[in-house]
Amino acid sequence: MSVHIRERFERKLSELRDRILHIGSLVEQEMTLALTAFEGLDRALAREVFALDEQVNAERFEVEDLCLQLIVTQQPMARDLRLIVTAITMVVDLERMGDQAKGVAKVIPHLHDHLELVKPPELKEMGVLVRSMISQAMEAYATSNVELAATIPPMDDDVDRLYAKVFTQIMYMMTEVKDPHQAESTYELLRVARELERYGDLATNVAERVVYMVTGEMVETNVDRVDWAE
Amino acid sequence: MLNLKMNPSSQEAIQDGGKAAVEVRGVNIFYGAFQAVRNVNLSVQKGKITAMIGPSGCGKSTVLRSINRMNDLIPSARLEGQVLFGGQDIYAPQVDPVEVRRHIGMVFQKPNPFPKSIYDNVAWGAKINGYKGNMDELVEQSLRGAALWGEVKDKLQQSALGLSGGQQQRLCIARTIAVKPNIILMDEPASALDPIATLCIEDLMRELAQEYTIIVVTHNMQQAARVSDFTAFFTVGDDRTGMMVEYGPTEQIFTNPKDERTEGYITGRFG
Repeated sequence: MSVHIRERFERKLSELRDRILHIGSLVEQEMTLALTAFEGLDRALAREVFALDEQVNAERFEVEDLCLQLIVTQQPMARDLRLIVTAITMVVDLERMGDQAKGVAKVIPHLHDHLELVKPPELKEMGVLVRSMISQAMEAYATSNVELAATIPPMDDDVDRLYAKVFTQIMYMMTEVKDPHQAESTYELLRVARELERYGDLATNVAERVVYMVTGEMVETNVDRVDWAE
Repeated sequence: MLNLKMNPSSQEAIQDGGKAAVEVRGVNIFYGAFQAVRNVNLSVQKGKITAMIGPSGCGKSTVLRSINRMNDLIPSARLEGQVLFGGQDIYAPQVDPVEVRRHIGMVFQKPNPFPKSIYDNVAWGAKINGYKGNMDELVEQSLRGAALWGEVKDKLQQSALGLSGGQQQRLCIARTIAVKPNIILMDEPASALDPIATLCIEDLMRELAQEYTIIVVTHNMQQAARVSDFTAFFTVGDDRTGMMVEYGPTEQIFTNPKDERTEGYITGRFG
């Protein structure tokens, strides 16, 4: 059997994978910067996050264009098709993750730095976790590693637990606060928690997409459990 | 019905819309000493379109032709195994191959209308089979069934050879369905046609599948993906003998094939 390697197609697929990895790393960087800025109430760093996010947005559209080009010119099948479809769906989630990181940076101008703001330690824990999640998800993508991708949903469960805890804490803090500026700052802490929680959810989506890309099976792990009975 | 005694359960199977229209069981095909195809097992679902794809020389056309005993016309051809239609082996000694071909019709790659009028092309098969009903109605019905009536109704007595390639192919389809087969075999039915005529034939295939079981051999993977419900992938071994590698729902074969040989072929990594 003779071997035909579609060289041009292979190069373009490689380029697509590299672009996704690059956006993944940008989005990880964005959250790292945003959390550092949040820690030190650093407005200059917060501005850098915004600049990074613009880059993510631009690169997202380049990825979508490349995918469209590949579909129309190469008629991809099987794993090539799954790779391209994964890129299209994953880039949307990555772009949203960038927005989440930007959301963390956005609260900094609203945090009145003359006030003593007690930041719940769970926020830092959540930050560490979600950054690991995206890092591992992109590693799983780079190496087509389904086992590694599978380690991410349980981490999201931990993020959700921390979120529930910090939510209660912050709600309590807000009832104790008399100063309206402090109330506003305390509320912004909740925003940060929410952005981190969403970032974790989206990193889980990314991991699910990696599994789909490799196996062709789409498994939903972000299941919302609500007790409707009261 | 076939010219041989069918056991009642087989007749029921056809009337009940039993799932398999035709079953290829343990089929090996030889041309003289050369084995063209090895151990093919394929159960073709009734009322569905099944595509057979694979590289040149993999035996897919050979297998297709074996389903209505067209290989009988090749003196050195020999088949081992069974091809079951309605529960009966069509290669059993008492079976009339002409009768088989009335139930299992064939459309070829190169349109081959008879050098007769459009009308006579369609009527011929029915006449030969002793059709006693209204021939004008049958011709119209068949031409409508082949999506050709509108284009030829005012020139039925004109020569079929004056039609375009796409029209000739649809005429051949009309000719095939005029004898009311159960199954239509198509050997690369659109490969000699332009892109528009090709899409026309594909649309027609989907319409015909409402009444007939269709098995199509095609080199065009996108066509197989567009048109078929099930796809069988064949390949050829080092000994040049063809074999079936994988068979499944078209959507699964083209998005997530189980065998790496299938994936290699459909992604164009292996010829």
